[in-house]
Amino acid sequence: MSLLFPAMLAGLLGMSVPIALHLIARHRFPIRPFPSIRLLNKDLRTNVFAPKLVDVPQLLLRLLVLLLLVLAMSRLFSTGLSTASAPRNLILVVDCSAGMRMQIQEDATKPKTSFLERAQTQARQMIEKLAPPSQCAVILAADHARVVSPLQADTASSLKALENLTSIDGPGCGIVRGVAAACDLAAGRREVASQIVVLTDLRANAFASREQKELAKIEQMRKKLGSTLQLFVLDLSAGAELENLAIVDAYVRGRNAKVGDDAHVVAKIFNSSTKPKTARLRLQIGDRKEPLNKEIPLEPGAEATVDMTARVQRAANTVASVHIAEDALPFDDSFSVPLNISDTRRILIVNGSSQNTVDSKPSSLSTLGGTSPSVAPADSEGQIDGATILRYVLNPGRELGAAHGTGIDVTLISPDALATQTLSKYDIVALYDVSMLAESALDDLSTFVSEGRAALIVCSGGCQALNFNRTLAAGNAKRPALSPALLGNDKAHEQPLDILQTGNAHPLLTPFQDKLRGDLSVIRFTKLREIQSLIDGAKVMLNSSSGQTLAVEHAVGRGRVVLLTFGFELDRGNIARARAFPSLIWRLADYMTGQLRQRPPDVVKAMSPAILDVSEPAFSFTSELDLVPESQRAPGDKGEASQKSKSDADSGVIRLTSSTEKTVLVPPLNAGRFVLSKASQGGASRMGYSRYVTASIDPIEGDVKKQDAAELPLLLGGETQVIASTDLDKLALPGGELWKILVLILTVAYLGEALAGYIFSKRRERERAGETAA
Amino acid sequence: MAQNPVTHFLSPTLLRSIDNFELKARIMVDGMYASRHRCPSYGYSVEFVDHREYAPGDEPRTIDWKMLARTEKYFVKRFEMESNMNVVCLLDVSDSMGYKSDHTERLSKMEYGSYLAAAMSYLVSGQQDSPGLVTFDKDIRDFLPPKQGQRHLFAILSKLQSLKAGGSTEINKVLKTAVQRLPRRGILLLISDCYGEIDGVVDALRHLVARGQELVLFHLLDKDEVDFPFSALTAFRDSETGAEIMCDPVRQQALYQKRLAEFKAAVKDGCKSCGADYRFVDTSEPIEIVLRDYLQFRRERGR
Repeated sequence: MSLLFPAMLAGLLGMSVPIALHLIARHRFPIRPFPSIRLLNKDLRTNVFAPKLVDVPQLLLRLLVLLLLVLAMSRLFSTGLSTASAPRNLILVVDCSAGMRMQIQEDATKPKTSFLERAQTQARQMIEKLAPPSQCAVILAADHARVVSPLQADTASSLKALENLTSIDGPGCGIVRGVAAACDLAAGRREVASQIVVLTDLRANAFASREQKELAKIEQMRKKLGSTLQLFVLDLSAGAELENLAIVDAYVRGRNAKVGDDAHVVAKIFNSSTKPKTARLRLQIGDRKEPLNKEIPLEPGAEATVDMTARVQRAANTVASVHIAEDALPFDDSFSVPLNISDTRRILIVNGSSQNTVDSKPSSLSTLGGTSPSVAPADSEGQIDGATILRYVLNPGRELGAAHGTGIDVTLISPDALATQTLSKYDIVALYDVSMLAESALDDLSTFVSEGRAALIVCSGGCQALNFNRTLAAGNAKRPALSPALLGNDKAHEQPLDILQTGNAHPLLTPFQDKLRGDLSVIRFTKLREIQSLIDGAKVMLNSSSGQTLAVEHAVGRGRVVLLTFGFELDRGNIARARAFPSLIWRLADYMTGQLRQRPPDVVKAMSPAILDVSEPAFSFTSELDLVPESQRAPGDKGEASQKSKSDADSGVIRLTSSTEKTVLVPPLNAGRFVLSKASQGGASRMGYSRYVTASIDPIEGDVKKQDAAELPLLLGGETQVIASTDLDKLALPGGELWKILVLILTVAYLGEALAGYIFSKRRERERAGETAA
Repeated sequence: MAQNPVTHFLSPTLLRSIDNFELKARIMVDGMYASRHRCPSYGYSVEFVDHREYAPGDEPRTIDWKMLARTEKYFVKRFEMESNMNVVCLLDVSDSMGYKSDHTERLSKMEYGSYLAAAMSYLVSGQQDSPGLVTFDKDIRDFLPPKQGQRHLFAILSKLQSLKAGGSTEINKVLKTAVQRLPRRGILLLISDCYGEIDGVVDALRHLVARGQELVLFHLLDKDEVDFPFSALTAFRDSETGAEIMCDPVRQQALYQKRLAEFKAAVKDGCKSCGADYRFVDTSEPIEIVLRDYLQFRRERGR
């Protein structure tokens, strides 16, 4: 026998009250007629404390009543006297991590069920076996612990909570947190045994989060509750073979793809099974499935990185996803990454040094490494103008007729043809050796740059400084000067000049600090244009080691103008022959079109907050953005297409506010695809620029490595047991409370005491009456 | 139906215990009838005492002719006169005598005394003496003068059977009154608990003895009064005065015994000083043993 609430034994102190009363009972002293009182002394004491108890039987009855009452309140409990199960607190901690979605088939005749469904079934069975005064509670443990049904006798609330059970998309490392929360619930009801049952697939990741304060809380409760606290871990995966192939990560190489280029999607796959498996990967760009599959064999525990490519022909903001065949855990069988297929940049080269048009092909391609054998390289070196070289280097593939390009469309015109061009379709206008332009052309160019575009002015040997300074370098009331500097003479240098890199933190040079990406140190200039003076606000981008200015830039409106003092002709230096020359020019083009800054990829972990970069020009003038689930977009809308707006509350739209650093904090998201765009006002549809953000479930959820069961007692306390579904019947504690018997005896004793008191009082009255009569 | 007083008081056991005994007077009694007790008067008896000179009127049969022959004078013989004895039981029937312990088999003091008085009356009546009965509390309540005969004995027994204890005690006054009403010498059996002023009681006893009465005092107390067996805190109430004393019997046991012994000693010494017999009796003693012991004592003392 034991006591469920031994603290109530303190009520036994109340038994001293009737004892004291029976000792004190002065009015109940017998009066005895006695002839010899003359032989007695009167007691002079004034107190009436009797050294002996009076009415001992009645006192014993009263003490018995009190004893039974105290035992009933202490809830005397016996394991052998009742066939019903003893009252207990049953607290279920259900693992709701994404890994619980793993589908397992117990045998061929039964359908597949997930671990979560198994947990629901087992939990339901345990709760249905409870009877009052037992109580139950349900806690969901994922990354955090949440009490969905508090400890109470009504099981309906717990059963309802189980019906609505879903796993989260986030990492589920919070079993220990769940157990700590369960200990908090158990602490409130100590008089009965508390059983904490953790329903989990026993993956190691589920027990990964082990905060010291929670472990300390569990240990403290263990000490407080002692053997009345039992902890069980129900292994839902017992007997099941856990095998999983997962795509743990993917990214777009180079962050972006260019139209006409190959998009490279690099995927990392992991085999957490115990057997070798072959992963069949498939790439999908937007809705287009690539025909090529790759098969990668993987040993148990092995990882592989696979590069998958697909040619992209159209500019788009889309999503590239890598898929493998679905297995037991489907959420990690695909991985999506946003893919920005940037449109062709258009550069207009105005060749002031010749009358070349857009259709002419360079005749000196072989000199630059071309394949035509008929050109005599030595004689044509001085004839290759720099504009041609520039055109070539901007998109050598196209110039060579090859399929791949740099995504730059180049148009070469003469200065006269500038007036007929629609400048707005270009990203950069390059003026090569242009000495002067008509006013209208200058106005157009100025407007072009002011609206956020860029102009490149290359001053080679053919540029006339006087005309240049009067036109391009001069502004008026309506427009500022286009050139950032006044041009000087073309000067030859006996000692070739290099490009000073040391101490130059200009972003143009950043990648060239790694010589594998381009060695600028081999570049030499033999001829340079001198700079007379710089316009106000102009900055020197590049210098030579001896201080000659190589490149200058300044802002005009929202755009910028870059002036190069060196030409690309072969007689002016060897820049056109340097291996780093194309990279430098592409970098310059990126810099001038604002594509230098590389944003971090917009791939976030599901259910984890993240910070996104929103510094692109499209978001420049807005501080509020909307993050919309892709499923809420109107069908057929792609990229920058308008989106039908719905009520934000209905469609799950998340309103974000950008910081001064042009970043936004994204709250925890469910796994899926989202579109980031400018915030819509009222009922207006979302127009304009948008980009994708993908949220993927943490790849650790795909790791099916099991937790070492031997470690659990060390983690959660020495009495922790790992049980299987067949052991659930053993959870019921035998025995029952004896309160009914005690109350029955108590009632009888109380009535007996009352009757005895009545009889005793009547007897005393008779004695007094008899004595009086005598 | 009221029990026959004879059978009520005189059980076969009691009768058997006193069968071989007789109550002889130690002193010379004045009996009306010739009996076995010495009489202070000279009368006709078998015992020659002495001679006296003949006086005219004496009966000639009492002349001692041998003496005449020897002395040529006329002398008469004087013989001891044996007469019947008056034995009067003075039974205290005050309230204190009505005390009865909780022991169901014990008699109250008054009942015990009644049995004693009945037995003595029967014994006396059987030996042709005259039993009498005086019951008293603060005054004489009943007075049955000594008489012979069965009828008188029956009257005594009936009276004893109907007694009820009550009232206070004044032994001193009662004894003095009683002796006035008992002119003839005899035996007085005083059965009382003697609660009263000791000096007064002794003085009354002395007075009785001085009047020529033979006095036997049966100092009768209840067993509870002897042992004081109480343990619980009790309020003791005086049966006669109604005064109450609350005391702790356990704490006062020693004092009580001491005072009881002093009381008994005082009464005994008082009896001894006036030549009265003293016999202490408690109600737990069987009556037949008390009687037999006392009669045996008297027999042995008379040799």
